[in-house]
Amino acid sequence: MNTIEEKEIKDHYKSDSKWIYVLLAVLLFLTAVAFHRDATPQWEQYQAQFRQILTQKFGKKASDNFSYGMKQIWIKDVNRIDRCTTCHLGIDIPKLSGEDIPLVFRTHPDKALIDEHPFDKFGCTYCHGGKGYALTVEEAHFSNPVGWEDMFLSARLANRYGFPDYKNLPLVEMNCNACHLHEKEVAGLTYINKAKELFTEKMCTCCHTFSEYKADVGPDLTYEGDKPNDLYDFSNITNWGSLPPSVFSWHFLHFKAPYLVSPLSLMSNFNFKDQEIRSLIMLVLSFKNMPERFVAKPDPKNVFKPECVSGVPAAPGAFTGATGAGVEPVVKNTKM
Amino acid sequence: MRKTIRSLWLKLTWAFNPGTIKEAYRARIKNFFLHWFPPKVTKRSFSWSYSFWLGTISAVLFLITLVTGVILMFIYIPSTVRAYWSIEDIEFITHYGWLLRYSHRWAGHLMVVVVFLHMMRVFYTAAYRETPGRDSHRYVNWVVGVILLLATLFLAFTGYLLPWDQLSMWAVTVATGIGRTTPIVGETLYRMLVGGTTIDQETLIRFYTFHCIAVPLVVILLISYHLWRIRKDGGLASTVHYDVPLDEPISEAEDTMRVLAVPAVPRRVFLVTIATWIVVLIATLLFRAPLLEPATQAWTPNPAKAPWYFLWLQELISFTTIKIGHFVVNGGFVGGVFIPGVLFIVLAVWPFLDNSPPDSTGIWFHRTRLWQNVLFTIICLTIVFLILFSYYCRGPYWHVYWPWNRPEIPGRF
Repeated sequence: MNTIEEKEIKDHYKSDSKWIYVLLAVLLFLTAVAFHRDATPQWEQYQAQFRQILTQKFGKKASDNFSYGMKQIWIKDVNRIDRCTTCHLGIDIPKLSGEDIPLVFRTHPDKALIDEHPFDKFGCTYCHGGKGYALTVEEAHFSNPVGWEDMFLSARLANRYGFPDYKNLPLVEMNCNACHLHEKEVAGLTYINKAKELFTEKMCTCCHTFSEYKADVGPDLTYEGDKPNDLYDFSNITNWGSLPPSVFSWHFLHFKAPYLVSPLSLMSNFNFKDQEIRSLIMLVLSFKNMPERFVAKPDPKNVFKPECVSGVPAAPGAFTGATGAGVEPVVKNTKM
Repeated sequence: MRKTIRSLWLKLTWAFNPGTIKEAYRARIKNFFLHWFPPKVTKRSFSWSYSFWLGTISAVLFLITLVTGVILMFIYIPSTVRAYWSIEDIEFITHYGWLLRYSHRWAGHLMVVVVFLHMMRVFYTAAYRETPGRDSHRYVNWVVGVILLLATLFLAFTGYLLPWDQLSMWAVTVATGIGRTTPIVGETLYRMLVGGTTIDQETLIRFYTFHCIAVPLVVILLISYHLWRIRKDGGLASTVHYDVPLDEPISEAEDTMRVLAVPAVPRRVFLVTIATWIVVLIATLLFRAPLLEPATQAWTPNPAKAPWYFLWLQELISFTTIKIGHFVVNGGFVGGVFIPGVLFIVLAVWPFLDNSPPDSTGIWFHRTRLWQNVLFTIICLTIVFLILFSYYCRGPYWHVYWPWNRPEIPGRF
């Protein structure tokens, strides 16, 4: 027994062991942090909250029947996935419509609309935008617009662009029209209906190709809504005014004064009012390439036919810059 | 009684208790893991300040990417239709998917950095030289190291495409476009690598196979050879050598220059492993791996940049592209192939060009190697500067901006 001690070899650099213990403790801590982050996703808090509401409204049995877990709407034929219902759990429960229910759990306010566009066929993001795959509030709604082209069309966003009725989510009309493109008038789409009226009246197709209406003066607008931000020329805009720098604002300034935003443009100033401009931007940005199944077939009496009648637009305001909406151009300074 | 407890304690905590050096060596050889290590190492090569343990750190980083990568292979789908969405699933719904993906990403990027630093360390200490009077061929390991550096870059580059977002697709478009300008073989190599003329499904599956099977296999083989050669060449480079008297009894004062490799070296390797792992884990917890929009050929992000480790090439190209009126001389070949090609060839054969005296071997910044060290430093700093400049100062339309002033292309809303 004695010999073991005597034969003991000098253990060099034993201080390394101390550091190993210290770093193992750090590693353990970091692993615990990682475990905690993975084990407590944000949506679980919402589901726990929702269970409480179920108990309050429908009794304990309803909340016991509720199953925790990630939920998603999978639209199989276009392979689109929306996980919004993981948190927006009350979206199809009619009784959860009161003001006392938190907005996140409230049922969809427009029942008639949902009857025509059931969740399992359309999902959420086709209309509202946002990142359907995401499972955090930040990622799903407000993710970096550069990183995700399909921004969530919130009331906040509409307010930022000066929509007076921003609380009704006017920007969503854009996505409505992606499918209802060939209809002249759709009930409820105030902005889009107005824009289509203007589009026909000002004979935009005399210069712009749109779908089967061919023209070669201006750019093709058929899929203008699919055009990514990187393809816009922002270099001539030095002052965005009160608008946030974006494609939407680009169109806004361009409708106000086309020659200032793109100096070589032949497009004239139509003296549109601000509301008309917002309508037209929404129309133009709604021109998207959608899966065939989604595109609505119009009633023969209600077909959107923006024909170029004479080759020279005769409607008031077009190319004259004097009449139109009857207002002075808002953008006066040439150095924008 | 006390002695019994003491010996019992020693048996429990420290079973390895040899009496002579010979016995110590035998015990080491019997164990698979311990026999990787030499019998003894010099205190100098064991120290932090000589090697900074950069080679071990690179190997650990490679191990981390290997483990996380193999798990990611179970969840990732290498198809142009589904690759991007499987990444989204890894981020949002797979348990620890984010941990695997970010760890893999940051360990991969760090590996490029550390392998480069390792190469710098070996150059500054002239560790590719032979020990005087010894039969060693360290230049072989230097050449293997240069190949491993290139393999690391290729590994990182092939992995860059896999998320199939705009960032990855256009970075790969830029980088493969650079290689395409090589005369004679460029176009053929490009088509072999890309599988056609555009970055598409063929490219993705090729890059996937390279990234997951071919290159890792080559790297594992080369690392094994690299490590084996260190042993065969007599350990880390040094001007002095010690022969080992095998039957000498162990005494406290027996050796002031060397230590028994076991347990000191495995313990320190373990320490380095944990430390590296911690760094990767902190990066994983603090920073997200980038993911832009799904890849599309329809439009190019503005500006489209190569992966950061190839940015110096992209920068060289934009310097060597000369415009005379409407006539443009494309710098793709000069900046993207010729200059880096010459640099890497000179780097690989440098042990044969370095004719400084033998006693500079294994010495940091030996005075006889002043000029080559200065030259090497200038080249390395230029590369680092070009990468930083390109990464932080190039904005839309490849214009130069101050990093804090660089405009972003506005988004849709």
